[in-house]
Amino acid sequence: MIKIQSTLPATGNAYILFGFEAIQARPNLDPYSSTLRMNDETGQVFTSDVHIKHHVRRGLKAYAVAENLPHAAETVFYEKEDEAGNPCNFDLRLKRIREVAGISKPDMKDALNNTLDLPLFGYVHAIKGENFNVTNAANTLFRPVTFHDCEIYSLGRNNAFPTLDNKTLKIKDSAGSATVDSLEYGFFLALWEINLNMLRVNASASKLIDWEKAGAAGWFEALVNGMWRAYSSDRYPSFTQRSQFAQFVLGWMPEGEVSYANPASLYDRLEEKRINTHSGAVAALEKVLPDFLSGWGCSGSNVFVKHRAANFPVALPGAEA
Amino acid sequence: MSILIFELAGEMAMWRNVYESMGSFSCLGPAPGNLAGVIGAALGFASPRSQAAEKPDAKQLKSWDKAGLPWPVSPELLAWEEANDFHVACRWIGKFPKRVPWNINGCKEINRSDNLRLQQQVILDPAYEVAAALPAEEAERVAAALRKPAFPLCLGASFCRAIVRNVRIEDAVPESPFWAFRADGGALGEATPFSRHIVNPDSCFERIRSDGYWIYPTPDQPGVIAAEPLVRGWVRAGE
Repeated sequence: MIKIQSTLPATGNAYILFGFEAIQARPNLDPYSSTLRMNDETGQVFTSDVHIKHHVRRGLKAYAVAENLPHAAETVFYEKEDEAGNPCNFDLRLKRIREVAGISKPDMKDALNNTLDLPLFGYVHAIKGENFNVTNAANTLFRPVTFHDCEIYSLGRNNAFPTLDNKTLKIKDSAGSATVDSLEYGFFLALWEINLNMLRVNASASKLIDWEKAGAAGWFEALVNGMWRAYSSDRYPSFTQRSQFAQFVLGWMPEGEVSYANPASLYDRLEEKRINTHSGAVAALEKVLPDFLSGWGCSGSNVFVKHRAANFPVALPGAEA
Repeated sequence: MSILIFELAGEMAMWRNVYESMGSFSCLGPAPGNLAGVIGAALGFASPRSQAAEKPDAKQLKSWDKAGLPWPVSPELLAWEEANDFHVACRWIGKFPKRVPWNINGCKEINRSDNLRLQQQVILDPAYEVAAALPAEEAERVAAALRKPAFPLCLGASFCRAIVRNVRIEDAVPESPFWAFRADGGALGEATPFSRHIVNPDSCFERIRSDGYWIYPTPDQPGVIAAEPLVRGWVRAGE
């Protein structure tokens, strides 16, 4: 469990840099083209805020279970299916959240106050007569991206059960084979921005994490543990996600002007742009990460969370959580 | 009057076009109403239908809803725009403008187990310089708010976080052929509908009025040096 001991201020923006690696994986394919999302000029692979929040939601639920929060298995609003595999919609989720929270007198803020994902990531309560919106308090500032050029392989795959042609009732000769692009190795950096005032607005009436007792630190704890769990102990077993691993998480509260540098721009500072291994990524980050963090106003005195995987030796500012 | 100037940037922008039914193709730059919204978020003016609204008038919201205004603009922001006679100018200062597809699997309204797929065309690496004419004291207050905003700042959509840099106060708007200019007739070049907040929505139950276009000159299609690049950023219904 990653613990946050610091007290955070009431206003301003905090930042979290989350590093994770993907090995022989296909993270966040374009839903229309089913190809990896890439910068064609630099060979950097990127994902979307939607993608990483989707995974963090799974981690939030795992965190809720580990922390024994009330109705832990139903602490995430956006679930596509119920426990029996039936599709859900907005109304069904709202009904379910009210059931598990033991709410007999419905209130329009029930979903917001009884889940972990909505105060963090926001939502629109689009119900006529009681519509309201919750702005996301936490979002990636830039698309999560590899800081280096990546090797992409085209892999041919065969399906064990080729498809049947419904008209001729014969098995298609070429059916079941496909060529897919696969990321050989990528070290992703996701820079999150969290607006502390917005977090207070969204989370102060939560029934899951008591704002009066835990404050913003309690919510940051949920967020970073959710992030970490989604990419470590509670990874999704799909081909696209199972080989992605959390490497480090670092949170800080800068004062004054910052560089606003996109982690993607670290590419420009690399001597060897193409990185294919964990050791190569670590060696490169040892060189380029300190200046990047310094530009972002990150120093030992303002770091409120720092956690590294056992195989990530790069020195980071602040005390280990 | 002081001229508050700041740079507005980010990784991508999604300035929705009010004339495009799918709302999936971003204009190159913000309309005056969008810029007022950025300033309002920095100052902490919440929409009454937002979780951040402290004591929304439930009766008024109900009547607005009934009249066809389910998502009203912050009354504080509207009052601020009129009281300070908010005037604004904006210019593109980025590289050659580029739109890219931004396709995502959304999950906002799920009635089937399939993913809800959203296809959007966003502006990549947007960068603007914004100038706002305000009373001196108010310009200082907004400058401080932009440096430490009350709410997250966005470039048209909440997934496009904004970065505000180089906030300063000057005596005049810098001369440039790239300030967006208003065109009443047909659109040309990078046209953004000229949308401004209606400060008295009670009288018409509309949030914005779009009349004409705000044309953003770009490096390949430069404009002309206008005598007055500032435009009034608000409008009163019935004018």
